Amino acid sequence: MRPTVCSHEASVWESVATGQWPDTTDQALKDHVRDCASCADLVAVTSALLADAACARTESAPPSSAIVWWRAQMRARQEAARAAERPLTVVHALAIACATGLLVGLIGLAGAWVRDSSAWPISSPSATLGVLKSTHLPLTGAWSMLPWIALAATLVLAPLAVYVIVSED
Amino acid sequence: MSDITLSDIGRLQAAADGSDVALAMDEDAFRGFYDRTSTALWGYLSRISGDRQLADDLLQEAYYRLLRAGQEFESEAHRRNYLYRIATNLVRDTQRQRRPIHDNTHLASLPAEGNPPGDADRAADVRRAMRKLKPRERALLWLAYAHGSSHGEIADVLGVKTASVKLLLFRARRRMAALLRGERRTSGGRL
Repeated sequence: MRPTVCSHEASVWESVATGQWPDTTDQALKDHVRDCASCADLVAVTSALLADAACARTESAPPSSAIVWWRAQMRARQEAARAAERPLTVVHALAIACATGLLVGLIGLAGAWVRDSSAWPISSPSATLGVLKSTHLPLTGAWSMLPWIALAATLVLAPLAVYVIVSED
Repeated sequence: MSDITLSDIGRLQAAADGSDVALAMDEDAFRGFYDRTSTALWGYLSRISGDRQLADDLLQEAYYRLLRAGQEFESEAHRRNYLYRIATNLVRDTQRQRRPIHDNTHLASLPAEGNPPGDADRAADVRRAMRKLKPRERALLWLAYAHGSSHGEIADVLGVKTASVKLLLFRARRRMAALLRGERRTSGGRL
């Protein structure tokens, strides 16, 4: 429905808002409001809302401007500090991830070494030497795998660590 | 709302080391602006959200966001409109995140059945009627008739076209007037 805007709306609103309505309002305007549904609604709504606004003014107890200013200062400072720490945190996260990757690689290597050594016969030193010689190749293979294991673990852990730390911010 | 203690203030003062972080206003300008606008903004927030406690929280958040907004304002009116826009968005975001608000503190002020209707009764009628409107309708009506904002200012605050304000306002006003008539009939029927 198109609005049937009345040309008297501004005068009616002003009359209500300045407290002139209805006692000191011009009789012609009062007659108009009686016949105009749009202006009658305007009077009803404006009177109700202005009364409620007066109520709201008495209910409100906003904190003092000094307190709001201090809180804003503190919060802004904390946010600035957090923002400054963020790059450092990311570097820490990467370092932790790299260290964890290396540790995982070493543990994997140690596991392989223990498995191999548990199969060693200990009957005689010559037999042990023979086993050592035979296990030399697999161990060398495991050592050569270490950087790859560490790299794979880092690639998996680094994004996870960065995500966890950044999401905590 | 003002539940801060003297020890809190002391702590805040102790923590403030004099090197103020960059905010959009200096302290004197902010305090003057806050003193001129906070009571009206609290009224706006409490009536469009229907929740006084929420209005307390959002009031401070709105001023903080204003202070952190790296924006130049042409005039006090421009700054005030921007503040109201922040406040409106905060209420909208909050209401999206939580269930509809049932403000029992307002209903508690209703007169008991059989008592003569007075100002409290009328105020309760207004609040009940407001709660039945959509949040944008509440904001429109409050800005237009409780604040006396122009259509341009309302459009600026609510993020709608100025040309749309007239129609939206007309519909909201008609709905509110019908609700008020209904509320008054109900209040009268209780007597």
